[in-house]
Amino acid sequence: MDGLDLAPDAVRRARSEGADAVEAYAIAFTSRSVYIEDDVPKVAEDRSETGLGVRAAKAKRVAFSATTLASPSDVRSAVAAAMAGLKRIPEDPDFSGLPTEAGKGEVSGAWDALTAAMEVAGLLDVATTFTHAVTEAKATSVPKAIFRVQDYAFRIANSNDVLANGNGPRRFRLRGFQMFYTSLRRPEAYLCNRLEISVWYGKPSASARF
Amino acid sequence: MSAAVRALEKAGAGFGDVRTEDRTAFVVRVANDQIQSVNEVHRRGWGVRAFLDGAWGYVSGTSARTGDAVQAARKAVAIARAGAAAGVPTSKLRKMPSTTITLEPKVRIEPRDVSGEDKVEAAMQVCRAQRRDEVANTNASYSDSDWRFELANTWGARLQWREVRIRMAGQAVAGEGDRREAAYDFRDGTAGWELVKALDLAEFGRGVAKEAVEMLTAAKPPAGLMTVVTDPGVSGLLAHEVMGHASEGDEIVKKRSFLTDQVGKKVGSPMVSMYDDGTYPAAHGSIPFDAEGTPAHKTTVIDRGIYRGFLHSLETCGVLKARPTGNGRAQDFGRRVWVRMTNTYFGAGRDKKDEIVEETKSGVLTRKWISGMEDPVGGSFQAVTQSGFRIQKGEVGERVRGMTLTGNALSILKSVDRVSKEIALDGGSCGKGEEDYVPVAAGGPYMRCKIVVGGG
Repeated sequence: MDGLDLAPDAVRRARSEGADAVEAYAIAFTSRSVYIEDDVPKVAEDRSETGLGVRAAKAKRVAFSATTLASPSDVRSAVAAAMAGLKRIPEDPDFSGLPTEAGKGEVSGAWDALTAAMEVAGLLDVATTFTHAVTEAKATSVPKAIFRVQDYAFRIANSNDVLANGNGPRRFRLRGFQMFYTSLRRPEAYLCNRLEISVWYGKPSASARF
Repeated sequence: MSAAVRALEKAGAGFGDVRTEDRTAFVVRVANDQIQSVNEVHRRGWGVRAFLDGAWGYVSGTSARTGDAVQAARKAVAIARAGAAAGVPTSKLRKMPSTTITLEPKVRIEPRDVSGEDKVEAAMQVCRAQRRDEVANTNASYSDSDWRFELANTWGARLQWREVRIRMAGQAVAGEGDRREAAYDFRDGTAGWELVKALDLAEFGRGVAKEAVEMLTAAKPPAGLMTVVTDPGVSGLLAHEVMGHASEGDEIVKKRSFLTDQVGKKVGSPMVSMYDDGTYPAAHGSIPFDAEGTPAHKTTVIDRGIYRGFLHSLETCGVLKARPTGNGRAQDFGRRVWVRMTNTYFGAGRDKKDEIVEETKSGVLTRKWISGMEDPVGGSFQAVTQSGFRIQKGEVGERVRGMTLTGNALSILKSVDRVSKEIALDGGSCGKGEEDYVPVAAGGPYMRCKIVVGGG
């Protein structure tokens, strides 16, 4: 089952149960991380989740529910929860309806297919190469760092016949200490040219993008 | 689940576990007698962990497809193996006996059996009761959660348990001219709707508003090193943020805690004892098992002024050759396990709160906390209180505005000379790692000590 395909189903179901307007947001999310602790990749992880948010409206009442998405029955329960919420919610005077096709736009350059293909093994290589480069200098170490690649694919459907797809940005994230900065000049910096990198120096008091 | 565990074993995991979670939550927010939001959230998924030669592999997902967890188990072992090959020092876990247990929480009225309308109305009552001429904003929130867990591991454990939590909170903002003062209160715990039912919601709301209004005329607090009687909330902040975080085994293994070499040494006055207790009845941080399947435990951290030891996950108690304490906790199935606190508090003393005040010539009595900073490395205590009271000649005097409390935690604990019989715990969420939150509680008695006071 492609969970993203269930967004239009949620819209149809909520409409059939009496909602005037419905928006369903389905998202498939993957996250791969390597946690460096004291110069070694102590933990590596691979997460994947699919979820659905349903926003249902009746006149100016708007209710919301959310669920992880594993089967069509999750759609039924999410719609039921949103419809039940409509009975409790007062009117929102600022609600002016859902977006129409005219409001659709495009974002380009925020997603990188090469990065999207990176598995945990690849990320481990990056993390260890990087850490070795830092520790070669002897005076520097990597007490804590996180190397992470994340991907979001989403589909939004609404009762105005809008159907939008998208991919969120893959992000290559490092978190750690200042010694990372100098190591970026080393050979593995070719990765930095291809990926978005955010570097935090200890506490997130400063950041840099390359 | 059993197939995934077998896959972990077959793939060569030194240890592995599979945890499934099914979480529902109902959250209501109201402001100025208007409902801001009513959300129902359902979250269900599984996480597989493999441990091999010191390295961990985690794979998690929400898929219900048969075989996905088995495939994830193989992947988790492969990831752990790759990590180990990259040079992770070998370590051993503390092995736990295999058990099969199913536990249900002691809930008298299941929140799921209460209508959403009743929950909304309860929050509205708290909000409406805050109305006064001087009150500019009224707020209330209600939430309940019902989490179901199943855990199986390669040591033979098969566990099932549920955690049910509930919380009612109010916050009023009073105003006069340009001055604004906010006050809050809440009740929470591992309990059902009976917690809300036992509350006089109108009185609860009026109390929040009254406190906000009183703070409009609060005086500037005194400044300098002085006698402070900390209320249970501020005592708990000291227990959690400084002594608790510094006692987490992973900080000890890395020698990053100021308490690393303090076992057996004096860290407080003989009146000071401190515990982390996941079994504390009905407290917000109470758990039957941690995320590794270790039963919750009452751990003595400080015994009459002497530092006794640390909080552990399976790995840190293996490395430090200690007994398991049930503190390996994860935010959810998709997050890694860290060493985390449960309910952390200073133990009760022999005095009554009123007696402590009566025997204090001059000082301040704190009233609730707003924020605190953790400092496991340096052991500094820093907190901001919501308000407080002057103590003069043994009597509680005028209310003073929020204060900043600072000092070295051990110096503060060594200065403790009175501890009350009354103790209370506040619930909340504690973050660690990136944004990994788990429910906890912190508290303690009224404690008289020396702290540097500033601000206001």
